[in-house]
Amino acid sequence: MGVDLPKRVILDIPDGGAKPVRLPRWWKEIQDVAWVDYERLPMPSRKDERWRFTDLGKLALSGYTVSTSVPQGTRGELQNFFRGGRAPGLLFANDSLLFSEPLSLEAKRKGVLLAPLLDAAADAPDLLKSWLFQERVALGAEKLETLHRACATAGAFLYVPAGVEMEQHVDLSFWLTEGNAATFPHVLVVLQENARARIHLRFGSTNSCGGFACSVQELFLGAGAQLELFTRRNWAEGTCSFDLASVRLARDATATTFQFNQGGGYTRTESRSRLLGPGARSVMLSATVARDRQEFDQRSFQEHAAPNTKSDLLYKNALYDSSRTIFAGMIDVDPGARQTDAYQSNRNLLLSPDAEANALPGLEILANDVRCTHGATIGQIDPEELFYCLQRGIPLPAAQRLFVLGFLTDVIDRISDADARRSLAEEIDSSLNDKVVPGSSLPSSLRRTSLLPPAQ
Amino acid sequence: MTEHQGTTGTDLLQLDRKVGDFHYEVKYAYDAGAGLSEQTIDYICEAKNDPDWLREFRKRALATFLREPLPTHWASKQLEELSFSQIRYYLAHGQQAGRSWEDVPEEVKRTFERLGVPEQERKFLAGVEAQFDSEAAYSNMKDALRGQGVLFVGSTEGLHKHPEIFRKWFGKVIPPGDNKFAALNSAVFSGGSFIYIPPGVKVGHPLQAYFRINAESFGQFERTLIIADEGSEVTYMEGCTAPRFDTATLHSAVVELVALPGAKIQYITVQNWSPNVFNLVTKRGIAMENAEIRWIDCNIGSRLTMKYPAVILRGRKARGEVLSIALANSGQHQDTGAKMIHLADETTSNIIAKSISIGEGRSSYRGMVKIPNHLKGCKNNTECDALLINASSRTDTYPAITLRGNRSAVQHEASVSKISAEQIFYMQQRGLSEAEAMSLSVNGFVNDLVREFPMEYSVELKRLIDLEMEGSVG
Repeated sequence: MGVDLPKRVILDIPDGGAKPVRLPRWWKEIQDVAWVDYERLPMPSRKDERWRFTDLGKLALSGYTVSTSVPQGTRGELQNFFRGGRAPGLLFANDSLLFSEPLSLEAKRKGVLLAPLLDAAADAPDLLKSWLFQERVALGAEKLETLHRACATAGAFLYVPAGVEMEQHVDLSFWLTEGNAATFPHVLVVLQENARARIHLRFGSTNSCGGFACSVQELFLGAGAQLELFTRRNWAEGTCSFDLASVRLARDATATTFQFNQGGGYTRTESRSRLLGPGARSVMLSATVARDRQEFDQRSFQEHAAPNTKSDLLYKNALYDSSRTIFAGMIDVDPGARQTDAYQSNRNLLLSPDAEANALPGLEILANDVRCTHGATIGQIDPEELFYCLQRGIPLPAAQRLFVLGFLTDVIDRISDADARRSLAEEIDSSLNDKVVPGSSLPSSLRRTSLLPPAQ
Repeated sequence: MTEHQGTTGTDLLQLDRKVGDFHYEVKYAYDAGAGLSEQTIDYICEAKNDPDWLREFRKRALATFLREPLPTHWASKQLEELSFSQIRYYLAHGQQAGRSWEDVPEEVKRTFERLGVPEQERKFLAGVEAQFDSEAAYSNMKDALRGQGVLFVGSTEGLHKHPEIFRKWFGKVIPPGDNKFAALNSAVFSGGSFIYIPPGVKVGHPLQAYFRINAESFGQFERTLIIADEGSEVTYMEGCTAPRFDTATLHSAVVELVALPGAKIQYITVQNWSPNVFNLVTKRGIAMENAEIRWIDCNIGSRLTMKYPAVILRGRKARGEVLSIALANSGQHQDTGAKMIHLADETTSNIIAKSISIGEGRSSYRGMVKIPNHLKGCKNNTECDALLINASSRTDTYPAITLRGNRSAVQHEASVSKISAEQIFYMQQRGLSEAEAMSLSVNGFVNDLVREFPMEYSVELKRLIDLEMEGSVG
């Protein structure tokens, strides 16, 4: 068992027109150290509590290649999608930057920086160096996190100076286009004191089956900074993916992260919120629609290291067919973290006799002046409520769909940004259509805008 | 308020510990010496006149014990401090338990009298077994029950005199290979109770076992097997104490319950070991159709307790319940919890766990609930609440829930809090001292569980909690 990504693949320049990757020496050193660590670290094992319930058989991978070229047709498809966004952003496919939309002049003037990592390494090396690869998520996938460190070159760096509030949101998307392709996206966000940003992050495939993704998000929030990050994940069938995210919050900083998960084969997300300054607040939200034999393996860690911090986690899963979900969360309260208010909730709706939900909510509390609660439920749609709908002439599939929609929309209601709320609700709505057309991982709303002429 | 809570309240359990913290010199007729090997097993087998199948069983279990690693990848590292070669595995005064207190050797009888066992027996118990180190010193039951065919004897007597019932279930609910400590118990077990309740017999008063560790560096490995035949009912209570020694003492019991269709078993534990005892116990019951098993578990003593009573819900409409109270004072880790394994339709289970951590005490809840996909109409409810008294107290919750299929439901909820300052202020305004107010709050926190204990025990429990709380505020 092991991810077959020999070192030379990374260092060699693949054919197919992708630009050779020129890394500065300091970065290359990080990669070399990571390679040694990667080879030393053990694969996840059944004995490890942090992999409890995971079907480790789904991690058995080999034969992926980094920097696979993107076919011309796919390029056009992605371009259409990119135009749909119309916000500053970057689009990568198979780790190559395909399209970018610059920041507004005003944002540039205020000192905001949005750049692919490689450009930042050339233009602002010192700034990048002081933030890149500073965090470890370490909720079990250390080996994969290290693999990412050894391989990642594609990614975005968003830097917002103190006091700057970005008007426009930023669109970042990372795509796989071939079944044998691998991608290692890196998202680095630094918000200085009282800065503010909104990011839409999308992971998806244009091919219909297979692929490997291992992404890392490093989010740094200075005192009073505010970040909203909306992640949509929709890999092709059979894709094995890891997304490891860490958010660091200084005094009075606020982060809201939301994930909408569908598709893929095995998807593991690790999310760590580190509340390091008094008054910091982290809201962690997730909505998942699991179908077929998909497995969503979500691990979270709410780390309260300062007094008066607040965290609020809500992960909801709707499970169809033979899908599986795992939620393993931990709230950790340090001895000095008085007046902590922590909440963790995992709700699962089983819609098929073969679906399986696993919940491992956890608490480790070392301070006494706290309020910490967690809850987990696994259940079904109340048959009486379904019966009520049938009585009133709503057919069973439509009724079921309504309940699932209501169940998941509950998560979205926690988002304060109205536009994001609307677009996410639409996307969840369309994901519940019985069967998604193969290869159409682009959201229906965007497909409509890009393929049909605008109504006169 | 938190200020002086943080500095005091570390040493409070001593008051009630004193109940069990005494020690009389006893001469043992049998002593297997320190350390564990095949010879130890042979010694125990000779002393107890075990049949050959049991000798084989013990030796196989020993091999499993030696092979299995300590479960330190998830459990407390404190386990590594256990030195298996320094423990004495078998110490007995004699092989026959007395039927009346006159037959019990003087120093052993003095011990139990001081613990109040004979007095409780006269007052409200249907039968008593008192175990002193490895063997029972006293065992008796009301004549009326004997007439109804109820069996309440030690495990050795059970396997010698009633092999047809004993062997059918022995080691079936908890096989020796279940975990390292179940294997250890299977290898060297001695003492414990064997109870059989015939069909339809409802035992009105509780049967009680009292477990006493008297010797230093000793390991007590009792083995209890309770079989409630169709439609019968029984309540079993166990209490345990030991004097305080500097060296680690090990208590590793295996308790197997079998509730045949329609039977009800209630198993009550008040564990008050001294703070040098490692209490590593495997408890599991199997409930057939319409049967009910309730574990009512109260852990106050010991240094490290690891105990997760389980119910296997094997028959339709079987019901399992675990009610657990844990109190962890400085130097203690109460790692308790519950397991519910649903294997039949319409089975229901309920877990309510409350823990209180005082001083530097640590309490953990670990749970497992499993419902496979071919079942319908299964339900589980889990609630665990933790109360932290001092700034340095600690609590953890680690439940694990697996549910397959859309015809069952599970809910779990846990909360951690401290005593509300407003409540205390309110009571102080009305003339209660801070200590009284704290004590009242804590009693309120566990009150609904304490009520489930038999009257005599719940009064005692409330008194213990009062004593504990007294010093935790200034």
